[in-house]
Parts: sequence; structure tokens; C-alpha cells
Amino acid sequence: MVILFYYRILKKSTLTLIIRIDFYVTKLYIMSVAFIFGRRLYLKKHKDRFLNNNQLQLYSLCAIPIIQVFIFSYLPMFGVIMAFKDYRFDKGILGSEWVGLRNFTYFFTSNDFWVITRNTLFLNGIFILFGTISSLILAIALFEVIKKVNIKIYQTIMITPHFLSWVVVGYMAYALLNPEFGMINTMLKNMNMGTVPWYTKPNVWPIILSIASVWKGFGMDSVIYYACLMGIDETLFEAARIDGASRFQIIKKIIIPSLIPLITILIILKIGNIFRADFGLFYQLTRDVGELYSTTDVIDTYIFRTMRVIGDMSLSSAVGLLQAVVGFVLVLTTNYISGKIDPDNTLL
Amino acid sequence: MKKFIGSILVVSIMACSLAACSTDKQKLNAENLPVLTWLVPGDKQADLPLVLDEANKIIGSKIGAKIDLQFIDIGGFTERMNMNLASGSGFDMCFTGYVNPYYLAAKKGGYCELDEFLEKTPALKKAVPDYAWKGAKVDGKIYAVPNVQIMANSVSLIIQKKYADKYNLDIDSIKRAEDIEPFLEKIKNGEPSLYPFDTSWGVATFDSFSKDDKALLKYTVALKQADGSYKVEPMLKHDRYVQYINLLRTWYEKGYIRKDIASIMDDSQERTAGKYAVMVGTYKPGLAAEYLTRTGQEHVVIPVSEPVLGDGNATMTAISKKTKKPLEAIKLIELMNTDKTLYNLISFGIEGKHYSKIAENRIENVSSDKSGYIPNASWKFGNQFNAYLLPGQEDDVWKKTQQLNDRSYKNDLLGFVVNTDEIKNEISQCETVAKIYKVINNGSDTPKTYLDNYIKKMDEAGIEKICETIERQIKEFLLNK
Amino acid sequence: MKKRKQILLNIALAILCIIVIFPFILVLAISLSNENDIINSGYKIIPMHLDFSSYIYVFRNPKAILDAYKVTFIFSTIAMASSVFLMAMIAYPLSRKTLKGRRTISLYLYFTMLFSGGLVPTYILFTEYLNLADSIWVYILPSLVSPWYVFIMRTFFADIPESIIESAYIDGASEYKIFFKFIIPLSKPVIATVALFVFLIKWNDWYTSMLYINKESLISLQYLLQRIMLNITMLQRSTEMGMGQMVNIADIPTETVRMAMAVVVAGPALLVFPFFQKYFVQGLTVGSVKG
Repeated sequence: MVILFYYRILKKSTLTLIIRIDFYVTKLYIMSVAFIFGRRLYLKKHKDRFLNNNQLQLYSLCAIPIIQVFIFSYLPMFGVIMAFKDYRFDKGILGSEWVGLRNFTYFFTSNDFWVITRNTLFLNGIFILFGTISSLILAIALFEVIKKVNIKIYQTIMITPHFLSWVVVGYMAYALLNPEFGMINTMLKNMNMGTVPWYTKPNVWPIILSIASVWKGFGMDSVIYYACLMGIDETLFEAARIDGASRFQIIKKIIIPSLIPLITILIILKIGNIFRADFGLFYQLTRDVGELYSTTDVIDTYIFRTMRVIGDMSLSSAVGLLQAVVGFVLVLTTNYISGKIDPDNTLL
Repeated sequence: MKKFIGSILVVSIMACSLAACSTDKQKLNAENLPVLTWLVPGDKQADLPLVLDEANKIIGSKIGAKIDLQFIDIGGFTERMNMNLASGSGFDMCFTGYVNPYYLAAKKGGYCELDEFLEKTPALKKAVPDYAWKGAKVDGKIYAVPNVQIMANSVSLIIQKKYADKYNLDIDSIKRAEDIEPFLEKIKNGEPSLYPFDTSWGVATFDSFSKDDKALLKYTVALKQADGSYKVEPMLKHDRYVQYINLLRTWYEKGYIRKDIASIMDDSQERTAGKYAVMVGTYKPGLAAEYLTRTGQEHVVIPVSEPVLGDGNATMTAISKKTKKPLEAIKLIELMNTDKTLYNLISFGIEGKHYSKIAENRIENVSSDKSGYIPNASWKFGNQFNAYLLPGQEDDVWKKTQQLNDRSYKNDLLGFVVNTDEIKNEISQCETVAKIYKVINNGSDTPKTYLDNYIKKMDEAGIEKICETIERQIKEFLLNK
Repeated sequence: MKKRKQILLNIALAILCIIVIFPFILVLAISLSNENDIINSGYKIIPMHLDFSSYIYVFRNPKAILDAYKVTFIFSTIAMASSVFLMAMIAYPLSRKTLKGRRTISLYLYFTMLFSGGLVPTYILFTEYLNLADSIWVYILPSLVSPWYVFIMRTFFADIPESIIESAYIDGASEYKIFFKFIIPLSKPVIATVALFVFLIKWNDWYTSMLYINKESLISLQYLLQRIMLNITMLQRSTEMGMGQMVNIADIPTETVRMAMAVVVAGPALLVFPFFQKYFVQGLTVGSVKG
């Protein structure tokens, strides 16, 4: 039934939508499919060399994904040389002049370099910390709830923040923090406590941003942890119960250890992006108010503003490359450390 | 089961691709005329194909080409244009203006040099006034055709008529923006639900500099000296500028400016709803009529500064450097600028279907719910002085606009744009400082303490170097004129 | 004792839920309010007057919305199915410690998470060489394999007890058979999770539409709604620069309409979630499979 459903949809799309696929892509897909099926037939005939067969089979499973990644992620990568060039439209990426590290020195010699770097690393760091802790607690708490209906309700509600774009969240925050009519200030006024001009106080914003970041992400992240918890072998729990372990001990000895690999991977992955800021969060929530820059201006917002005035594409390419390199170094380091502690818990 | 889905998918992809290979990609172009793609910001229009069919009849017969006008959403226009410029394809002509900044794209080689082509289209050269061509030059060469429309910049106060009448505003007595102060006081006392003054233009509302001077980069100004040369200074060090900063501050304290001005990001709703008694805008003939259409309220428009001709930031039409048909492109632009029928066809649609003609030059749009073509596009290309008149516009609005353009003051620095290459760092730093101290521009913070800090920070950010560099560039510019 | 703990737990979670969902309720409230009330008295949690006009405005062009729904649904489901399948195909081998070159392939994948050519080369590749512009495939093909989810899947697959796989080998099963008959059925939670995430990401994609699509019939649902927001931002900037003529302010939708759009955008995704949930709450007993 489902098969037919899918097939009908695909057929419909071929008929009603104009699909243009380049000859190369077509060839590639035909080739890779042929590769897999052909291999399969080959292997069916030559079943004797057991071990090698298995390896080949595994490799063949990887084949299409690897090709896919090559086409769509590695091919464009050549464009990274834009970071080292003085990009001009008429000369294109290949024809533009090499300027070496000039685009990078621009970034490093800027007065604001320390402020934005510090903000980016610090804020992303605490986002990772609080985010992981909160989604873990939430996942475990949900796991403890017995009534399935309740779990469904809680989870559905917890993930709703994920679906609101930062633009809308920016409006909401403004509704709360507005110096004149904001809900918080109105409340304070009613309690005779005097209003707080939120948008001119840089020091509270790391907290505000952290709350926003956690609020938006911890629901969805907890779903991943929860799925992991769902996969834990029931028999382990049976055994622990028979042994008379308290709930707390169960958490400590069974749940946490089974989550550790996942937690490690996710943290390492997030550290890879620590030099990159979630643009929507930093731009929309702060309304791009200048006075908050000392604690909220990050690399991405800074470059965004610069681009508006200077518009040099090779510049943003250079900064992007820088962010990637830093992230990469950090990931390799963290991965190495993690590997030393437990060889199984590595990303790479 | 998943296995089945997987293999079905793969097979279907194969099937689709095989089927698609035989699908004809291009629409059959009956007469095999070259098709020119013209990108313009705006909302998609349902009847665009109809209109283009009509248009192509004219274009085909006159210059032997076809137009493919595409409206691209304003929100994505900048990105799209950047990508098109980068990939070198996707368009032959495009709109330049605030959604697609002209100067940077021209400098980086995105647009075609038009000087030689203009020799082949004398009608176009004539249709656009000389002073406009001057403003379109980058490093001495022209890279786009200015769209003929209002080009003069001058500040005007736009006041809701019902309040002007209620408080007996003597319109003739308002010669400069600051003269409006007594009126603001009356509004504040009499209408508590309104914001008396809309400070979105900030200090630019007032005439801080003479018409010979030119503001550059938002925080520096080039001041003409007695001997004709220019000295570039930070705006902050200019007395009159500071005077107006202080004025704005007093207005804030007196309650003429809304208290939450520092943090609001979007007040478009309130504008339409008429929450501001006095607004500020660029003056042009017919402005009051526009506001009437938009808000349903009558407004009084008072110009409070001398008109000065604007330059490269106005709306223009450029040709891609990588186009294969530059000659046809420039001829098409010429046609849009000179052929009244074609221009009005594309701007307003097909007579009878999208609008009805009331008089020789006057039309009325079919109601917007039913019409498949309301692009509001007459200013995006061509010669707006050829446009039909819409309800609310006076008969001589275009003549008046042209006169305004002609008599506007042409600054020596017309066409000069700052080259940011050597001062990139200083500029971003100053931008950041300007952002942090933006509040100075709308009065919501105490100037004296702020001002000293602001000046200090700007100095640290390298504003002096910027000023020196610009001075040097200006000298060169004036020599090469 | 257990009951009391459950009650406390449920209360704590309920309170948390209220805090979490509060902004969304506010958005909903504003979308149902009267525009003038907002302008005059600001945001209120309970609208002063119930007003559905904002939703009427959002849905005023039903054909456009239906088209967008259809397109978005099609490419989201296709992308979800093929993406999960492809990612599992590479996650499984990576989870087998015996695979030679495991580290290299992982690195190969991971590298793409950090390093990218940037927007310009990607755009050139997609439009010039792969001809994906203005076709539904531009939504599906580019991000079929996301290293992030591959690694998550890999972690899960690695958790599956070695004994099952051993016994399958002894029975003479090929890797393909193991993959299809054992791994996938045993990994329902993670597959459901990743499928959900991929579906939602595709569902919410508007950037692709903005860059690559010209045909109205192919725009995604999110873009249909987002572009109004994007246009607003542009128009605001134009007001700043005094380009009054470009702003047809009557076209800028009101605050209430913007909130209505936010609700319409988020709504369907939330409705999809319970459908996937049953895979999470199911629980898994390895024993049954072994038996």
C-alpha cells in the first residue's frame, strides 16, 4: 500500500512538475545503482571468500552516500580559494587576483576582534553547557514518567519553541522586555519596583541569550536523548530491580553510562561549531541595538554589518574559512582527549 | 518494507531521469529572437505572461528581440542578484537601487561599461538629463542607465492635515524643520495618544550643512572651502550638527519623541495607522497624494530644505557584464525610456483588463483583488515622466518633478563615492561605534556625556584616517572631472 | 511512595511546559487579536476582541497555499525517506569496528560539516552544472546525507549487541541481509527520530526557494509565508533611507498577520510529531527478536 502511495506520488511529480536533471547526475545514479546490484550478483557467485566479501559489501553500502557527499559538498569546496583572492564578478573565482592573507589580516587587526571573538566563544560555550545539561535532565525526567499520554503531551509542547523562527522570538522578547510597555516592566511597575531598561544594559544579556538558546533547543535535543533511552535493553532494568536498586542508583549506573557515547558525540559536534554563531539568535533577539554590542556582538553579526557597507564577498569567505579551521582544530583536540578517556567514545 | 521503498525510490529516480532526458527543456521560441532577461524587484504578478506577450509584439517589431521580465521578491533580491552576478548568468539587465547597491557591483566588475553603447542609442542619451549621467559614473565610466524620475533630494515635513487644521498650523511660517516646534507642543498637549514627531531621519531632518557640502558614510562630511577644495571632517566636530543633536534631545525630553525609540525595530504599522503627527520624507511633487492613497488620510507637505541632486543611489538599470547581447539590451532600455506605449503597458498592464482610461493620460486601476497585474513598478525602469497619471496625482506632476530635478542644486561632488578598499578596518570599526551611539541620532540619550565618549571612540576607531583618505580621493576626483 | 513521586514529577513537568509554551500562546493570542487593539494597548495574553481577520488574510490565496503545501509535502517525504535510507546505509558500516578505513570515511564525512565552499560556488554548481534551479530536486538532492545524523545513527547502531550480528554471520547472512533484516528493525527509535528531524528541516526550508526557485508553483510553504517577513525587513530599511516611494505601506501586513503566519508555519509540524512519537514510546525488547 505504502509502496503504491509513494510510487503514485513520484509518478505524479514526473507528470505535473518539470524535472530537469543533468546528464551527469543521471549517469552517476545509474552507475552507482548498477555498481551495487552488479556487486551483489558478483558476490552471490563468489561466496567463498567470506571475510573480504563482507568488507566489500560494507563498502558498497557506503558507495552512494559517499558519491552524494562528494558531489554536493566536496565539489563546491574549491570555492574556498575565494578567501585568498580579491574577488571580482567579471573575473570569477578562478580569475580573480591572489591576495594571500590580506582578507584575514583585516579581521585580525580590527579593534573589535577581541570583543567579538570572546563573545562568540564564551556565549556558545555556555549555550553548549546549559543546553546539554537541560536536555539531559528533561530526557531523564520524561523517561521516568509512567503515563504514556503525559509523555506525549509534554514532548509535543517542549518541542514547540524549535518551530518559532528567531524573528518571531525577537518580537516576543521585545513584548516582554520593552522599556515602556513590556510585560516584565509593567509587572515591576505594579509592584513599585521601578522599570529596567533591558535594551541598554549589556551585562544581563548573556543570561537572556542563554535562556533563549536553551528554551529553543532543549526540547528537540531531549528527543534524541530520549530515543537513546528507549533503546536500552529492558533486561538491564529487570536485573537492577531484582537486585533492589533505588531509582537514583538506576539512573546513575544504567541510564547515564548508556547515554555517555551519545552525549560525547553531540558535544564534540557542537564544539565544532563553537566559532560560529546562530545568526538569528544574536541579531533578532538583540534588535541589533548598538549598546549591547560589548556582550552580544559576535563574529557573524559583525561580518554581516561590515558586508552591508563594504560588500566584499571574499571577506566573508575568509571569515567562514577561519571559523571552520578553528572549529576543526578544537574538534580534533576534544576528540583526542575523549579517545584517551574511553576509546569507544570518539567521533572520528 | 523499508527495503522496498528504498529500491523503488532508486528505480523511480532512474525512471524520472530517463524520462526527463527526453523532455524538452526550452520553450519553443517561434521566431528565434534573442530573449533578454530583466530582473526587477517586486511581487509576482499573475497576468505577467499576458502583458509580456503584448509587450513582445512591440519589442519584436522595433528591435528584433523579446523581453523576459521577472519580478523577484524584494526580500530575496539582494541575495539573488549577488548570486547572479557571481555565476555570471541568469540575467541580461537588472534594477539597481537600494535593494541592489549599484556602486559595489559596478566596481567589482558585475556590470557592462555603457559609454560606447550609448553612442549607438542617442535617443536614450537624450532622454536622461546630463546631470543624471554624471551621478552614474564610477571611476569615470558609466555602468548603468538612470531611471528618469524624481532625483532631487530634499527634506519635507509631512503632517496629517486634520491636526494641522485643528491647531491652526500656519504652513507658510514653516521654513526650516525646527520651526515646527510650537506645533509639536500643541500636539503633545492636545493629543496624548499620538507621537508628535517621527524621528526616523534623525539629525538629517535638519539642514546641518550647506548644499555645497556632502555627507559621506553617515558620519563624515565633506565641507567645501572658499577655494573650491574640500575638507573632510567627522560630523561630530561640526557645530551645527551638534546643535541639532541637542535640539533632538530637548525634543525627546519634552515628550515630542516616543520614549522607546531606541529599541523599536519596526513601526510601519503605526505609520499607516497615523500615530505620528509629523513625519519626515523626501520631497517630491505628488507626495501628499501618495500618502493619501496609502493611509487614507490627507496630509500637508512642507519642503524644508533646498533640493540637491542625488546620485548613484537612485534607481537605475544596469546591464550584466557577461551578457551575450549587450546591444539588444541597451536598445531595449532605450525603448523603455522613449516608447510611451511599451512603458505604460509594462507599468500598468493591458487597457481594459487591468485599468481603465479616464482621460488622455489618466487611468484608474481595476480593484486590486481582481486585477492580475498591479506591480507598482513605474519607478523601477524607464522614464517615469511618460507614465499615466493615477488618481490623486495632479495633471502636471511630472512637469513639476522635472522642474524640481532641473533646478536642484548640482553639487561639485556629484558622482563621488568613497572607495573603501584601503580603509576597510577603520570603516567597520566606525560603523560599530556609530551603531553603539546611534541613540544620539534620535535624541534618546544625554548628548553631553555621550558626545564626548562618542568622539573619543570614533577617534580610536580611526575616523581621522578615514577623513584624510576621503580628502585625498576627493582631490583626485575633482582633478579628473 | 511511587505515586507521590509521579505526581510531583508530573507537576514539575507541567509547570515547565507552561513556561516553555508561554511565548507561543502569546503569538497565538496576538494572531487572534484586533490590530487596533495592539497598536493602542500593546500585547495582551488574552485578546480584547477575538478577530480572525489575520487568518483570513493569510489564507486569502488558497491556491497558492495549497500548491505550496503539495510541493512541500512531496519533497519533504521524498527527502525524508531517501535521506534516512542513505544515511543508514553509511552509518551501519561505520558502526562496524572491523571496517578498514572507518576512520578515514568518518573524517571524510565530518570534514564537510565544517568546511564549505560557501554560497557562491554552491550556487554556481547547482545552477550551472547540475541544472537544479527551478526544479523540485533542488530541495531533495543537496542535503541527502547529513554527517550530523549519520554520526548519531552510527552511535545507535554500535549499541546493538554484537551477539545478534555474530549469530547472523554464522547463519551465513550477507551484510545486506543483516542491514535490512536486523539493524533497521532494531533501530526504530533512532530511525524515527532522524526521519522526523529531516522531515522537519525540509519542511521548514525557505532559503532554497528564495535562491533557486522562480516558478510560483514550486515554492515551498515556508517561503510563501516567510517572504512577507523578508519583504518587510527590506521595506523597513528603505523607509530609513527615505525612499518613501518604494514602500507601499498598505502592503505590509499587520502585526497580527505576522503572528498568524508564525502559527500556520509551526502548526503542521507540530501535528506531524505525534505520528513519529509512537516509535519512541514503544520501547524495545531485544529478547523478542532473539527468540
